[in-house]
Amino acid sequence: MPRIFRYLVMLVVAAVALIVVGGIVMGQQVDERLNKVYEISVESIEIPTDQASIERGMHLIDTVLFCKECHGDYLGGRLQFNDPLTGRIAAKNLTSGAGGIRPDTSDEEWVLAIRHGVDEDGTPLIEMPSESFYSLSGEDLGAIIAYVKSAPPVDNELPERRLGPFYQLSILSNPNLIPAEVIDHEGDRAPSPEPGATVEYGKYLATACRICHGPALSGGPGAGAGLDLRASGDLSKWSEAEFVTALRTGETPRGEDLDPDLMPWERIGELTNDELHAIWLYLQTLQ
Amino acid sequence: MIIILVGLGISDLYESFASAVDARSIDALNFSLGGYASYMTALFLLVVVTHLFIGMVVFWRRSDDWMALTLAFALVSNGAWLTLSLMYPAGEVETVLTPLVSAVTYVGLVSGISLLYVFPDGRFVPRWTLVMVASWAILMAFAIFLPESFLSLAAWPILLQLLVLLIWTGVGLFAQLHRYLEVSTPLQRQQTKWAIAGLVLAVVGPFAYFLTFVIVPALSDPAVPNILYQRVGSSLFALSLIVRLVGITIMALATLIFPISFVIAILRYRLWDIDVIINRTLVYGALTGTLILIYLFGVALLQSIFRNLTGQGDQLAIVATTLAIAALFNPLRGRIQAVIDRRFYRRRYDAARALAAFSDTVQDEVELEDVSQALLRLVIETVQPSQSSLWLRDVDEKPE
Repeated sequence: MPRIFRYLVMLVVAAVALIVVGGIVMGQQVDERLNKVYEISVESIEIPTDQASIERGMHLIDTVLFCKECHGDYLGGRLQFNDPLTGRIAAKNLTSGAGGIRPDTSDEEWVLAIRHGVDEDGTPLIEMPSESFYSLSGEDLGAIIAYVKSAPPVDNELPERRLGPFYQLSILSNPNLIPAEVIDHEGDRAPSPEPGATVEYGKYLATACRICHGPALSGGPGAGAGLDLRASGDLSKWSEAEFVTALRTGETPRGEDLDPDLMPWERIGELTNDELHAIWLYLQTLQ
Repeated sequence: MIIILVGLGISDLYESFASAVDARSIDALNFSLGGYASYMTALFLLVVVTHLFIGMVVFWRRSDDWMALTLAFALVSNGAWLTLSLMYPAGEVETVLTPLVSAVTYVGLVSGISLLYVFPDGRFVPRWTLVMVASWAILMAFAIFLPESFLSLAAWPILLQLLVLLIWTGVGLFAQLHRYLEVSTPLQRQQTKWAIAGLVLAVVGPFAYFLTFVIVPALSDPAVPNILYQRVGSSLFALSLIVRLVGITIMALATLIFPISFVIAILRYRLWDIDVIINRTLVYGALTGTLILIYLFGVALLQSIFRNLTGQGDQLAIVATTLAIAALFNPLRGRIQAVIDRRFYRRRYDAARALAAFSDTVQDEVELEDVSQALLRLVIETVQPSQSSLWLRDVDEKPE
């Protein structure tokens, strides 16, 4: 065999060996983190049963927390990835239908999942943006759980989770993918503001906006990252009326269309005038 | 017909690449959507044009040989069917061109595997392999013309499809191995050993393209909600897109091994004696490409030098580069010819080298014995006979 081929074969063998060893080490690290059992004393939440609370829960899920972006329009779950390199990952079926949440899931288990990003067996959930939901008031969290429990059953059996090497790599590079690790589970929760057209309530409503627009709502250079929402940012020349119009119609003041695949304006546009005003007021305070 | 079909479908191909990729991942990699679509389109057109060219040359020079004719059809249809299937996707709006695309796909899929079984003499060896080709032709007919039928390969699970592909390719390889060891003449062995690699890749290559979508289907799925995209991080999707790009590029280059291997068989082992035209094309193609590169680079370099020195000089740079190109033409052609002869025309190249070395040796020799030994050594090294001997006529011996 010519020398060049010998070196080439040795190079390929070394590269494959490196990848295999690296993959094994990476898999072990990820498994260790995903198998960790969290023991958290869950705050007791009262789950309302009245229609107004259920509607409040639906409103929050649809327009503020964007749960349906991942869990599907009927909360019946959705297969997000299913290939050998990424893995098989699904957002859970949250209904009582086949393949859904256990019928006897306790209220504490719901709180554990939403507020702490921890599954019923104490292991961490992945992808769930619980660090953003941690600040939800007990009342709103109760309303959300009440709505999810009342959602019509959807039969959707989803496959067992299997993480591929690409996804494991993402977990290692992106700490937010395991929210239980970044949440201070014993930390104080800021007092929940009263609903109304106030800066505080605007801040409260804008919590999930941070997933795309960044922790400071200053946007980001990343692909698909949201605009800089600060007063001095990309909306600095917008009026409040134009802001509201953009979110209601998907058309910016410059006549450009907002891409609903990037910016879920159709969901946000369902917020009330007071809620949009509150968010606008809050954004004006950001420098 | 294929040239027309491909020509009509280029814009659709470009559009299909531009629309089937996640713009966020393209953005994350600092590519442009247009650049990505152009690259993919160029890659697929390169595959078509290379197959088409070799197929046309074979057809032009040896249309009287039905084996060569089969290869020409296989080359043309194999090179085109994958690209055409992307230009005119099945199940979408059917046009008058759809049956033509199906026909090309059918010919490509059947001729590729048939060649694997009958190359190079057109006979089925062993005889029973005829059944394999016939059954493949039937399977492909269902897959392409009756895709909803339960006999359609396209409707079977992906693992079963791969198994079928493996069996038919594996038996074809076995047939070629059997032929190589038991039936072929030494020259046929030399010719086929190159061609077989290409034939296997011709059968497997296009399927590898679809395999990349099986391995990484979500890689660049534009439907991933942005919240999930941001949550997971763009690096996952960017990495996936890179894998797909690399996979498709390797697949395209691997597909080119089919025509290239036949070029090698034709040039190096004089398959069908049509090497001259291929040789000239290689030489002048490489020469043209090299001169264009030198010209572009030369103009850019000289312009920048002249601008820095004199503040102008565009015309001067063009004139100087053109003169340089004219001066380079002949020496460069000689160099490229030598490289191609060294790579593909071993016999001519080796013979020329051996004769040159022999003449160097004998010009200093005066002993007949040494010259005889050198001559025998040359014959042994170049011809490698099982035995050799040299008879010299005695100078005193009178001819009868």
